[in-house]
Amino acid sequence: MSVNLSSRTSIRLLHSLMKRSSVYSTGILHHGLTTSSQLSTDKIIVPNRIPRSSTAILEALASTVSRDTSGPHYKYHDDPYLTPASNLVKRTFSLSKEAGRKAARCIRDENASLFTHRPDDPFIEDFFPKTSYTEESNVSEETLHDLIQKCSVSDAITVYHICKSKAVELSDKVRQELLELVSYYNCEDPLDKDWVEERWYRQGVLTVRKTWKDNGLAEELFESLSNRGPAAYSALIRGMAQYLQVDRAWQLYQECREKDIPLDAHTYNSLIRVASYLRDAFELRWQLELLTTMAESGIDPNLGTLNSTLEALGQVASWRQARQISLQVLAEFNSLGIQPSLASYYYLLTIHCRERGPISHILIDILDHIEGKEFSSLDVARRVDDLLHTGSNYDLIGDSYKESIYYRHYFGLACSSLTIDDFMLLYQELVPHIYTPEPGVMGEVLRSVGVQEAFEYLPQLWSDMIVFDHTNQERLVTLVLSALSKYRPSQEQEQLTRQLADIAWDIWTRVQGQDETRRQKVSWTGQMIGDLITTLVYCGEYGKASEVMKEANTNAHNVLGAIPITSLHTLNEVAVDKKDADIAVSIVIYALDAGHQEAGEMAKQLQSKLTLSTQNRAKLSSVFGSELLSSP
Amino acid sequence: MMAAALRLSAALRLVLNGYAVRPQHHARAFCKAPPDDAKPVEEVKESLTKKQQENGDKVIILQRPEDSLIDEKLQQNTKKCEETPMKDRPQAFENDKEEKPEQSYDKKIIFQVNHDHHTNERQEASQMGELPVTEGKHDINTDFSCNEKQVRSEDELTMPQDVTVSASKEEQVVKEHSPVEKSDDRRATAQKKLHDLLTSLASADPIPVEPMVRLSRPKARQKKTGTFKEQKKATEQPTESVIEPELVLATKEVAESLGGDVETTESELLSTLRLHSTSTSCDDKPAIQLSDLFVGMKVERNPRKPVKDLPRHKRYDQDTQQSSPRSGVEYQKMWPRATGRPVPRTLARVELFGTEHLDIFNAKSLECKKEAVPTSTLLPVWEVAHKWELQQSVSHPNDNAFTEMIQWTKQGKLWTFPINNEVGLEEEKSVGFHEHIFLEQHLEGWCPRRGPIRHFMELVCTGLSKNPHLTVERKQAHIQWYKNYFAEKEEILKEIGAIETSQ
Repeated sequence: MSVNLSSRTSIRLLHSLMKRSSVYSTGILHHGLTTSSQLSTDKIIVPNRIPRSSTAILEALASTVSRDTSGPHYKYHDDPYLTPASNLVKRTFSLSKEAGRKAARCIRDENASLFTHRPDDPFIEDFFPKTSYTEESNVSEETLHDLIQKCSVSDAITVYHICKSKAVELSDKVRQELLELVSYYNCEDPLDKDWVEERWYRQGVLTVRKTWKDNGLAEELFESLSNRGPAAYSALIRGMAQYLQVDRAWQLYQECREKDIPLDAHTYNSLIRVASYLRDAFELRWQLELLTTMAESGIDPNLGTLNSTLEALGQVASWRQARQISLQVLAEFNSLGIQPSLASYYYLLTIHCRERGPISHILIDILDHIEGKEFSSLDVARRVDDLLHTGSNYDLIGDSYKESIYYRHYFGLACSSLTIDDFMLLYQELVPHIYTPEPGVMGEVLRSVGVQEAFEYLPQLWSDMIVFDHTNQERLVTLVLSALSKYRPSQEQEQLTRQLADIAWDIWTRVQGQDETRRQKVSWTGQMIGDLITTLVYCGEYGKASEVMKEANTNAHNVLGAIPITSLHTLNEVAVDKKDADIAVSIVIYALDAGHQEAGEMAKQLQSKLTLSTQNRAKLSSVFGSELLSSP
Repeated sequence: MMAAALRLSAALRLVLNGYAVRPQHHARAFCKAPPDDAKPVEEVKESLTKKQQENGDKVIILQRPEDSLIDEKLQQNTKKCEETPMKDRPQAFENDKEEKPEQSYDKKIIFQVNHDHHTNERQEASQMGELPVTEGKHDINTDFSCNEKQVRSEDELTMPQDVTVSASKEEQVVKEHSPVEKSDDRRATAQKKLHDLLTSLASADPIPVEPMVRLSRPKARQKKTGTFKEQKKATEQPTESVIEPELVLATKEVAESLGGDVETTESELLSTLRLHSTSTSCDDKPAIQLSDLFVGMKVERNPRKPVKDLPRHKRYDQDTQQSSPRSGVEYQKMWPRATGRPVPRTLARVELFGTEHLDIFNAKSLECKKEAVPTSTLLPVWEVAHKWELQQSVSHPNDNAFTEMIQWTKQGKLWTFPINNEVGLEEEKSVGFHEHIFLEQHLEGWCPRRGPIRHFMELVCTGLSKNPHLTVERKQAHIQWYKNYFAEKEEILKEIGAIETSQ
C-alpha cells in the first residue's frame, strides 16, 4: 500500500515536472526564436553625433567631484601648512593669494616691452601684456569695435577720445555700440574676470542712490548720433534707469512717446523697476501705467517684466495690498505662458515674508512648486539646503558674505531644533572647512551643550574655538566655563575628566597670560572663577583649584563680582578633607569679604573639623572676633 | 531730490486732505460754502498745471500755502487751548457737545493734524524697528487716542479722490503729450482699464491672511448735538440733496479742470461725497464702520515709505551686519527673535497661480505674435555686456582642478578637449590636405618635362609637401619664385643645355 502510494505520488511529481519543463522548453524556444528574428529584421541605428563644447568633458569630470567636507577648500590646497580655519585667516589667505597675482600682472603690464617672446601657437592673449592706447597709437573704428566687443570700457573711451582728437570718422553704428557699452557700465570699468576672490569677498553693497554720471560720455554720444532711433533711446533710458537717474529716464521716455519712438520690452522693464523712485510715485501707479502702455503698443512682456514688476512691488512690500497684487501679477504672467524664475520667487519672498509681518506659508508653496513633497521648519531648511546643492545651484550663492549668512541661519535653526547629538553630526560635517561658525553661533552651540550636558563635545568645541580665534571672546569663555561647571565625573569617564580639567586649566592660563595691550580682553568675573574652581575641584585638580583661589584672593581687584558661595563650599569641603587649613581659612575670609552670610557657618565648621595653627586662628579671630571662635 | 519729491507729495496730500476733511466738518461747512473752501480746489488745479510745466519751483509754491495754513491752525490751536480749561480737551469730542460745538470742532481738526503727524512718525519709526509699537507709551497723546481712529478714517478718505485726481491727471498728460490721436477708442479703453485698476487698488478688500492690527478703538462716537439737528435734517432729505448744490458745482469744476473723462470723474467724486455724507449722517453708526468702508484705501499714509522701504534686501544686510560676529550682544538678541519667538501660525497655503489676473495683457494675441515674429535684440552690445556680468556674478572660487581647467579653457589658456593638434589653425581649416601635398600641378606649363630643372623642381615640391610650417600660399609663392628665377636665367640655361630647345 505504502509503496503503491509513494509510487503514485512520484508519478504525479514526475508528471508535473514534465509539464513544467515542457513549458520551459517551449518558452526558451519561443524566446530564442523571437530574438533571432529580431536580429534579422532590426537595423542597426547609429546615433547621431552630439556636438559637445570644448569644456563638456571637463564639466562631466567636475560633476563627479563633490565638495569634500573633510578637507580644506581647493583654493587652499597649495599650502597645506597654512590651511586656514578661522574666517579672518581664510579671507586673508585668499585675498593675499590674489594680491600676488595682481602684483605679477602689474609688473607684466608696466614692463610690456620686456615680454616680447611669443612661442605659443595659437597665440594666447591672456598671457601677454595688455595693449595700452596713447595719443600716438594708431587707432581706427575697427579698434574701437574690437574693444567694445571685449567690454573694456576705459580703453574704449580712450580710443574714442583719440579718434575724436585725430578726427577719425566714426560711423553711427560704432557710436551706438559705444553708447550701449558706456551706459551699461556707467563709464566705469567692471571688475576684472580674474579677480574671483575679490568678487567673492566684496560685500554686495547695493547702492540706492543716483550714481549715473550726468552729462557724461553716454549723453555726449547720444547727442552726437545723427539719427536717434529706438536703439539710442533704449540704451540711454536703460542706463539711466540702472544707475537711478530716474527723472531723466522718465523724461526721455515721455519724449519717446511724444515722438512715437517704439521702445522694447527690456527698456520698459528697467523703467518699471525704478518707477517707484519717481518723485510723484504713488503706489504702483506708474508701474501699472507702463504695463498698460506696453500692452497698448503691442510689446510682448517677458520674464524680465514679471521680475521687475515684482521687484517694484517688493519696494512697497509694507503696503497691505502688495501680497494680493503680487499673486495677481504672477497669475497674469502664468496665463501668458511666462514661468517665474528663481528671481521671481525671491521677490515673492521679500513681499510675503517680512520681519514685522505675519508668517507666510509661501516659501513652502514655492518649494513645492520648484521641486515638486510634504514636511517642520527644520525640514524646510533642509529642503532649501538640498535645493542649494542640486546641480549647479550652488553657483547662485552669491559671495562669501551671503554664504556665511546662509550657513549662520542654517546652523542657528539646526542648533535650536535638533538634539545635540544630531546637531553635532551636522557640525562635524560642515565645520571647519565649509563653514566657520561666528562667535554668535558658537555661543548658541555652547549653550545647548551646557543645557543638554553633552560634555563629550566640549573638548572638540574648545579646540575649534582655539583655531577660530574665539578664545578671547568673554561671552564664549563664560559659556564654556558654565558648561564645564555642571560636569560631575564618574568612573568610566576618566579620559573625559582629564580633558575637561585640561580645558579649564587652559582657559585659566590663557586668560592669565593674555596680552595686556590687547584691545579685546577677557576679564574675570566672580561667576567665571567660581565655575573654574568647581570644575577643577570635581575633576580632581585640587592643587590647581587652590592656586586659582589664591590668585583670586590676592588680585581680587581683577575679578568682577564675588565668587558664588556654592563654588566656595565645594572647594572648602575638599580643603577640609585634605586638611589644607591655609586654603580653607583663606576661603572663609574671602567669603566674609564677599559678604556671603554663610561665612560664619563655614568658620565654625572649619574650627570643628580642623586643628588650626595659631597663625590661622589669629587670622580668623581678627576678622570674626574672638567670641565666634571661642564659642563651641 | 528725493526729499523734495517727498515734501511735494506730502504737501499735495495735505491739500487734498484739507479738501477731503471738509465733508467731515458737518453739513454746516457746506451750507456756508466759505470762500476758502474753494481754495484747495484751486490749489489742486494750480499744482497740477504747475507740475506739468516745471519741476523745480512747485515744491516751494505748493508748500507755502500749506505750511502757512497749518501754522495758522496751530496758532489758533494754542490760543484756544489757552482759553479753554485743560480738562475740556480730552472730553471735547465725547461729552461737551452741546456747550462748544464749534470750538471743540476746530480744535479737533487741529489735534487731528498734529496727531496725524505724531502717528505718522511713530509708525514709521516702529516700522524701521526703532521703536516698539506700544499704545501705552503715547503719554502725551493719550488724550487724543480717541481720535486716532477718526484720523485714520479721514486720512483714508482722501484716497478715492486722490486716485481719481491722479488718474485723470494722467489722462490729461497723455492727451497733451500725444497730439497724434490715432485709434482713439482703443486708447480710451486702455485708459479706462488703467483707471479701473487704480480705483480697484483703492477699494479692494484687505487680504485675509494679514492679521488686523487692533489699535485701541474709540467707542461709538456720538455726534455733537449742535450738528445733530442738521444731520437729522440731512437724513430726512433724499440723498442727492445731502450734497449741497455749491458742492456739486465745485465738483463739476474740479472734474472739468482735471480734464479727461469729465463725467466719470465728476460722478466718482460725487458718489464718494454721497457715500461719505450718508455715513456721517447716521449717528448710531460707530466710527469703526466708517473706517471699515475705507479699509484698504490707506494708500497715502506714509509718503516717505517707498523710499525707506526701497533697500529692503539692503536693510536685511544691515541687520545682519550689525549683528556681525564682533558685536556678540546684538547677535545674541537676534537669535531669540528668529527662533524663539512665539510664532503666530497662520500657515495658510498660498495658491501661487490661483488668483485672478490683472488683465492687462491679452494672452491670445501674445501667442499669435510669438509664432509670427522671432524677437531680435535691439541692443546687441548691451546684451553681451549683460550676459558677461551675469556669468561673472555666478562665478566663485574654483571647487576643484576640473573647474579650474574649465576656467582656463574658457580663457584660452589650455588646449581644448578633445585634444586636436590643429586647434587654432583657423585659416587652414578651409584648405584640403591635397593642396599641401600635391604640388607638381604648379609646375605644369612652365617647367621642362625632363632634365635637371625638372628634377630640381620635383625635389623642391617634395620638400615643400613635407613642410608643416608653411601655408599653401607660401608654398605656391616659393614655386613661383623659382619660376621667375628660371625665366630670368632662361638664356644661360639654354646655352648650357639645361633646357631643351624644342625642335
